[in-house]
Amino acid sequence: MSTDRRKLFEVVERMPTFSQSVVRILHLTGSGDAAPKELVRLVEHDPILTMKVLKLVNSAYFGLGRQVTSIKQGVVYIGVNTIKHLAISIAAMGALPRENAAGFDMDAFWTHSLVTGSAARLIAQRQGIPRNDTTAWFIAGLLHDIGQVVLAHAMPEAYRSVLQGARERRVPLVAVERELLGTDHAEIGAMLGEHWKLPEELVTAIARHHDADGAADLPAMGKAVFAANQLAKLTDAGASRISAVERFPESLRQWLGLSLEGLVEALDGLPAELDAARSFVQLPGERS
Amino acid sequence: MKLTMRGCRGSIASPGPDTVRYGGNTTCLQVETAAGDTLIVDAGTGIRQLGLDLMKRAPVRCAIFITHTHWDHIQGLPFFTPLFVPGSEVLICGAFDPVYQKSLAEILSQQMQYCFFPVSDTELKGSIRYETLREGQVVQYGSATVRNIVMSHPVFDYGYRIEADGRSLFFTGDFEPPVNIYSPEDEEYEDYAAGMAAQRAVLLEMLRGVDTLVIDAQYTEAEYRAGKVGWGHGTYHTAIALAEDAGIPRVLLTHHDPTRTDDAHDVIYAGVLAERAGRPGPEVIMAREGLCLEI
Repeated sequence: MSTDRRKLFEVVERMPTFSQSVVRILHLTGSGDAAPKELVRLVEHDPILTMKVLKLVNSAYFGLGRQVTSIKQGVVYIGVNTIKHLAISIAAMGALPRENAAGFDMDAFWTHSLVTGSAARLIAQRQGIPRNDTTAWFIAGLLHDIGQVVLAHAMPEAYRSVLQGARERRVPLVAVERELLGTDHAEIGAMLGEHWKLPEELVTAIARHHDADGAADLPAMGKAVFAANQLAKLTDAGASRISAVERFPESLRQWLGLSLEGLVEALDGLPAELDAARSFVQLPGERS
Repeated sequence: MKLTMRGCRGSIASPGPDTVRYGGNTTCLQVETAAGDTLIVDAGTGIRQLGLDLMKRAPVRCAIFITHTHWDHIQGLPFFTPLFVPGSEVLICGAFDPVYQKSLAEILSQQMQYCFFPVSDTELKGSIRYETLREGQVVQYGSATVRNIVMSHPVFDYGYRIEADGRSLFFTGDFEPPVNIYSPEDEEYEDYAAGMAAQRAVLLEMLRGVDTLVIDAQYTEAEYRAGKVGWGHGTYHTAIALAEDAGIPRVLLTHHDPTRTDDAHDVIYAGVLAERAGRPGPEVIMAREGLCLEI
């Protein structure tokens, strides 16, 4: 795999964002009086755009004295205009086709990412994390599966077999990835996060979001992303169809004081977040 | 350390009978240390006359710090005579433009392309050295130490802190204090406010112990609220408030709006002083071209 990994990074460097984001951002910024908070919402809801903007602002190009870990912080630090220009230039590189050779459903991926991000944030709030600090948890949830996109685009044929195998044999996707590719999307996503110099706790959360055996040792953000991922699958038939809900570790049950099903009930804001995620992925006027 | 305001107009040079007293040239600050080192911040049209004055004691050796590359901060550079004269040594420092991915040298040489200006930068006879600064990078220039920090403005803008002779001065370049992009009823409002507070704390740390603050104060509060939010400039009140928060004893208000007449300036200045009469806080000075202060 070692030679392929450089190739994987190159794929991601060139990887465009979601077509819906591109349409929305160009529409919003073309009107001339775009509300900054709308722009922030658009960028924050697109995992690839978020990662690319964070990667750029933390790069040597900017030479900033402090690390930027969220889009909002970036807007305060270097201004909404700069973030807007970055988003436009990233968006202008084109859009990911919603269909791809691997048969990877980008809309379902995106919806699942948004639900996981929102759930991770709700869990953070429930665990007493100050609201101001929960953005990083949202980003961690949003990006946890980013490795899947990398693999689907870097090796479409092989990944088609992986998806098919997981679906037909009803085996967790990570297991089939390891079997057929010698790596998995958590590892690749974490490598990408490291490569792009994302904060360590975020990289750990991405790396270990399937590590049920080691869940007891996970930092809180990692625990929340693990739980949020399972919760998102439990509440979304689309996401569970390629990768079933996994064993929920006892350590997480203790940490939360709830079972996974209990957590679904306890998170008041969840139904609204699910609706918001589904409608966000659709373009206006488009029917599911 | 001595500060001379060589240009304090914002946006565009505005010469004419109505701007004689405060001056029509765009931003340029000249700083002379006791040891004779010359530092210049920004190369608006005010740098033209400064160049001619410096030539009287040629060869010229100086460092120019660019806050950002909007026209009113670089347009005088092609008319800075020392650049054309053999024997001059000019160091030009500023940020890389991360959005356009161009260095300061590339951007400045673009304004000397033939369609804009008859002499190209390759024909300059002085010795010119460019230095791209990272945020927080410290530059030692002779007896002066210069630090930078990213300021809130639509383009990447460095504020500079210059220290020499045991004194210090800070110039913001263009600066609009961040405003919360959310409404108080939005869920994200407090999160964003906390981010703003953290950013302010970093700025206040940079301003700690500064003796004189030179700051963008282009608008009145009323002008600002009537459609100038997000244009990248501050008001008289936000400027003074920053000096107060940072405990800075003297503040110079600059980057005057090009439409502001001398008489209008006098009225605003009198109003600001009247409002502050009897209150503790910084000495407030309306910057004008030619104003020379011992820092």
